[in-house]
Amino acid sequence: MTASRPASSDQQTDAAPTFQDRLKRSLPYFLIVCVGLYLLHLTRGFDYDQAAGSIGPHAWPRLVLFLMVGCCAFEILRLALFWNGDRRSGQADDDVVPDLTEDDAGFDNLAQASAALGAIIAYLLTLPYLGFFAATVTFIWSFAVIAGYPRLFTVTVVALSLTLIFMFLFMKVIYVSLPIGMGPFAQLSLWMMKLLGVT
Amino acid sequence: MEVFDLTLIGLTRVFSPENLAMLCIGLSIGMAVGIMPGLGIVNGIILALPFTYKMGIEPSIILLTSIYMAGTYAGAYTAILYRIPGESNDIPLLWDGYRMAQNGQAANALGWALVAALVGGLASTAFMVALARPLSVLALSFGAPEYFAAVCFGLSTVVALGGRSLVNAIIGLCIGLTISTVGIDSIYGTSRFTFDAPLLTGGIPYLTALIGMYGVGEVLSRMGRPAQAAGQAVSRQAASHSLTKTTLPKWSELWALRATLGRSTVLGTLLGTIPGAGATVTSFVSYGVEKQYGKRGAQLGSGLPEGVVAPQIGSTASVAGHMVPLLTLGLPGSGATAIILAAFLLHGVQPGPLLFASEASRITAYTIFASMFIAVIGMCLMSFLWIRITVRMLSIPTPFLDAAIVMFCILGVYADRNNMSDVWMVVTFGGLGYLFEKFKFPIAPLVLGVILGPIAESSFMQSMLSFDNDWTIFFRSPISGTIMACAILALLYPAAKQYIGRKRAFGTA
Repeated sequence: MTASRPASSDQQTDAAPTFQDRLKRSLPYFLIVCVGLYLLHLTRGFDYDQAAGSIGPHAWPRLVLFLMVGCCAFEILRLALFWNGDRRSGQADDDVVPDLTEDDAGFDNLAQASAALGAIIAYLLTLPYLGFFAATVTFIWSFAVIAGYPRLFTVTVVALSLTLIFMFLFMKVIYVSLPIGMGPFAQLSLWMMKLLGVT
Repeated sequence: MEVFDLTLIGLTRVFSPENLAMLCIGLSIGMAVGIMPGLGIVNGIILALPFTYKMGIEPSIILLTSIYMAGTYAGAYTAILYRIPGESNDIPLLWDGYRMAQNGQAANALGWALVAALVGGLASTAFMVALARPLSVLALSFGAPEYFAAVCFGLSTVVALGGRSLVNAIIGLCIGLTISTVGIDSIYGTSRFTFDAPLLTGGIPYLTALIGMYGVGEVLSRMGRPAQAAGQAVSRQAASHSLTKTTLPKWSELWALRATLGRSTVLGTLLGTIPGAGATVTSFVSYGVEKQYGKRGAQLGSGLPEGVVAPQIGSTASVAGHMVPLLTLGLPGSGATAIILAAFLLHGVQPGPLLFASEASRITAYTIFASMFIAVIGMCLMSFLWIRITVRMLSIPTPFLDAAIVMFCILGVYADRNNMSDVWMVVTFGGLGYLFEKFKFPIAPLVLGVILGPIAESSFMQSMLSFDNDWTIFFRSPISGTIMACAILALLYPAAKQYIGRKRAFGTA
């Protein structure tokens, strides 16, 4: 039986891959090889009391890193010498197990994902200064806008509501001490906590 | 007999107010995450995890397993009625379930899905209850080589079933195993890959990897995809769809499908015990087997009840199957069971054979088992009462949902140790999770590598120290030799499948 799936636009190409295609596909593996080799180099510096017959604390990491580098080298070689593009002709017809890593929609929206990651990082950096309330309202607001939600008034209301719900759940229900911020933001946080009955 | 008594005691404990409340909340959350296309079962369990910190072990695990159980079923409703698979395991339901709905048999399709979930859930839970004690006794006889072999088997099946590229899965696993070596080595006390950073001295908490990769990483991946707006529009349309009642099949109809019911239950439960074979795999395999061996297999896809029953039983039965290696060996085989393991460890309880050693912990274990019986029945009842309200959650805009998931991930990790470093690690792993999705590396092997890495390393090192660095010990002992052979077979399976597929493709060309 065949799990019919739409074809990815970048995958069903009939033309043979170019050198640049191969390089692009190999890049993650090159990167992992470099990191792996560096970590293998670091294992030589592990300091321990060498007893007779002991294989040392580097044995296991080395085993794992050798396997990782070996797999990457295999994949780089495969991509360089044997890869003819991602065509499906070789795939079994009775493949009943879906490919869970495949995403037919592709990853075109790198800017949006990067902006979302940037918003999370900015949130964590400002959290100690703005406090949980102000920082979270700003974060949820900006996150929803980055994600493309058009109605700003709704975004503002939801950001405020969600922040209050989170404050209540984490401060009042499971007693987590969340940052209150500095200066006027601390005052604002304390006022909101009082409003929610958090003592 | 003792098993029966313990299960009865467990049943009485499930009906304590706190446990019952957690079961109902868990089922409600499971229903919600099961129908929301962007919110996976693992996400749902992650979101609930911080709330278990202040609870006892029993309500915590009951809450999480109920989410897991209900999450495998709720998506059937939206898949059959609206062609929206809430989870990937619901995809086979589109082929016959949605076709049945188009043929004017939506109520019957929902009824078949409900019966399938009930039969699969109850039968597999009974299997788990029967198997848990003997397996734990067997596990008590395990030495370090056997444990290492068991971990190898678990990891190899996760790798083998992790996706299309075996190499990518192995690389992901190795990255996870490497991450697990960061910090002070437990045998020699050596500092490894810490770069003199105090943050890394204590190692990388696997909870941060788990929540970062599955929670934040999933949100970032979703934001990186362009089809989000269209999916949201479909969701809104679905939420306003007219409501359909559920019609249960007659006894005669059930009897006619006895072979499908039996076959899929056995298959779902057995496949579920294999690490890596989650609800999605069991659902697809059950459908595939039904298509190949079922009486009306050739007609599947045209809107037959068998096409609803087989995958739904496979999905639900896999839950109890997955709990077997977790509770008896302490080895999680999926993201969901990894978080349940985390909940156990957060409460200072190590699942494994020792869970069945003392009277008190045995009762806890059987209370969890008993709760799964009640959860199966409860989720079927709730599908009548609750799901029509829950399905309205589909109208929640994805941006707000994503923001809430990120907040839950951040606060969930922060609440564990009140440590901002953990939060930064979550974000780092979130970024890594995004890259993994982008470059088509499966996430599950990495996460399970981080979790099982310390067990794998300590059992490997103990074996080496005890047997004079003789690595053949893993193959010489009967138990570990058999398990290692299974692990090698599991690794060879994808390559063999690909080879046969190629031969067939050339044959038909």
